[in-house]
Amino acid sequence: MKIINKFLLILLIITNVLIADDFSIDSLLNDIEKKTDLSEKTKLANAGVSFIYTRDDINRMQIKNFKDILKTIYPLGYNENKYGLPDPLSHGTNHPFLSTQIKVFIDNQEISTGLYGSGLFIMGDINIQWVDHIEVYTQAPTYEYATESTSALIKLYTKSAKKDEGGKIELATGSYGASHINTYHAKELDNKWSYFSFLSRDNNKRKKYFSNETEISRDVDRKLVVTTFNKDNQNILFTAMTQQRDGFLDISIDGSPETSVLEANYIHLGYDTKTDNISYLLTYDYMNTKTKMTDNVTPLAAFNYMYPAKLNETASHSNVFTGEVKYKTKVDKHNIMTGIKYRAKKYIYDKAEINGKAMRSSSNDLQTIATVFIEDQYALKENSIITAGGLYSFVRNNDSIQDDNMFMYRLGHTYTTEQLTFKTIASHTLMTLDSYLVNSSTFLANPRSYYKPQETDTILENIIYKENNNKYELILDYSIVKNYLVPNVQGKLDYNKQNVVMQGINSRWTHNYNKYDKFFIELGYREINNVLNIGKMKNYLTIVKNINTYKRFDIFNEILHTKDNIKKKDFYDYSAGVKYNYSEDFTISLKGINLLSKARTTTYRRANPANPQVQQTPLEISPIDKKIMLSMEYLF
Amino acid sequence: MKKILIIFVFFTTILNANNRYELKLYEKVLPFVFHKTPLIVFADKDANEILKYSKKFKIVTKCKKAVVILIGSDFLDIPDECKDKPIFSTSYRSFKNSENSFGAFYWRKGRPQIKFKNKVLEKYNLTLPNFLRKYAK
Repeated sequence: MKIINKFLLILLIITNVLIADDFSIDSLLNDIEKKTDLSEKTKLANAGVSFIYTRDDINRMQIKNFKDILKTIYPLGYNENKYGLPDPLSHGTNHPFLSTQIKVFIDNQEISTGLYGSGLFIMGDINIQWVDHIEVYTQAPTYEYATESTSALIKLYTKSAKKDEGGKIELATGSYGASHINTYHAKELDNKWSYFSFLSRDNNKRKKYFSNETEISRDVDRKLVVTTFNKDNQNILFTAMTQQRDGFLDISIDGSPETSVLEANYIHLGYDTKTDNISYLLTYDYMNTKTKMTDNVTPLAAFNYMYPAKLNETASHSNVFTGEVKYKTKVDKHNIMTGIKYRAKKYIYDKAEINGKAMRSSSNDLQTIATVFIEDQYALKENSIITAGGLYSFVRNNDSIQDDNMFMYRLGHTYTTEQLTFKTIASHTLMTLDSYLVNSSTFLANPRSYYKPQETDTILENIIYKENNNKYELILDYSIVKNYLVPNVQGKLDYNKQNVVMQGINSRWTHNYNKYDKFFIELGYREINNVLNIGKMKNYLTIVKNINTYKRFDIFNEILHTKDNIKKKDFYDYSAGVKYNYSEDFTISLKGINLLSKARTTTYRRANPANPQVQQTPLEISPIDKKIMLSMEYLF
Repeated sequence: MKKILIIFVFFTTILNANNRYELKLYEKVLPFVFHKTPLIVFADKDANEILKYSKKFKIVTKCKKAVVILIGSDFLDIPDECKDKPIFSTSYRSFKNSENSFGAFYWRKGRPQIKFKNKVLEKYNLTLPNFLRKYAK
């Protein structure tokens, strides 16, 4: 027996020596490049259900636009509203934005807008080649980030001089005559400050559709700047963009406007820093928008010549000031985080007219939100943590009865072993009206009434199992939503008569089948009960992804299958790409999105302008165009 | 044997993937340049976070004569005893600007790089093993 043991030991030593000889610095550098990512440092383990896009995923899958990420986010997906704007929770009505619960952060700073809350309104379809990695937290994430009602929180982490010192330029062209150019430069300066600066110009030409023989378009011409300055724990973020968009359908009754344009300009400036225990944040967001739509229709006397819209013009500008102080401390087995946050949203409609008549009668133009929060992570054992958090939010509107005092809480338990993680989270969240909805006779069924905040109680279980090259994940959730707002027959928001009950199950399997290559599959089922005029909604989702590298080629394939019980149709969004790394500094890429032209469509309702009671066949248009892009990038 | 396994599991759990690969690199490079283990090092905060898990490095909190090498990018106050010690830099800026920096591991253009300066290596009578020579200029 001893002889066998000795033999095995010698064999083990020989094997180790052989492996060690094979071990080269180049392959180790390659491992560092491919297998390390900053998300290991930024991800919050007890923050909620999370999904990470690593830098390597983003590179090899050629993820260049935010909507490439949004379309795979469970349980939301990507959708566009009647203005062609990113709005995953759109009801297909005239509301400019209904996805305020999806929050977008760049590094530590939330991107916000005065009228619509979430920065997704302005950022949901932008170029994201300035991003290092992305973290998506769903289902009531931690108050460390989200201090307003949040169903999904997306953190976009910028590249930095630490990893990307140097510069890059990329040119791309593709379907419909689309063209993109972007460049960045990053440098560590001698005074320990470093900067990263990204500029892009996207002439995003898109597929055209016809409605009642009129061409409708969602083209976007966008210029974007994202710049960060960092020193130790100090971060400055500056983002600016201008967008000239075709306004798609706007509020055209028959979905065929003669002209439709939308212009938006946006600036974000913010500073955040932290000491050992205290972190501070101060941000400012500015946005102005202008829309104009003309339609070849005759306004009807029965509607006081306000309807249907022959001319719709809006112009607005808004400012958001946000300040936050957070304090973290560790007392015995408690990790306590507490803080206060104040946000003021000031907004002005310079114009809001339909058929030349002013639509807006409310003088409400300021919403303030003061929030106090506390969260404690208590370690029962080293691998068993209880999280308990409470948040009190005071929402005030300056000329409205729509003032709310909202108490929210979340309780969670995380248990981990070497291979298993169990997360249980129960949460109670409240959501009040966005600024633009307060007292709005255009968008609310009862503009002068007080709207009770939407109240969501959720319980979820997230189980993760890791074994060798495999990671399995299961998410089960159950929610009851009170005071859920749905559009009535006029398309104005009113209470859903019953509580909406949602339940879902999602399972994911990631398999690393060799050193750098991986296969991913996700299966999901979601049921939404008691929705007005619909009853029960059932959604099925399947995502299959394969990413692999062969010699100098990075190849990916991805297919999204969706089906629901309303359209009862199978939708397939198949994307594929190949990237040829000619040298360390020069790369050529080819990417196709929705190659089968069978991606999920959105229904846009239309009516006869002469008799609005008579419905026309709705338009079925996918927010994801069939598109092929060729791009070249050069690092310098 | 069980203890060793537990310690191994414990460390691999704590040391995240980024640091694990970087540590492998430091362990593969520096003991071969200095022909010593453990190497007594004075490290900045970031390097300290990585090296503290290795048996091939002994980190000291005060820079003394016994220190063989400085590893890092940002040293706040280096005592006189250590001002002439060789530096292995962890940033391009430090590698470029520091006269004593004989080598570096840093990221540039999104890729990890390892580099050595022949002149500084000569100054400290350091010789690179064969497998590292192609990274020197």
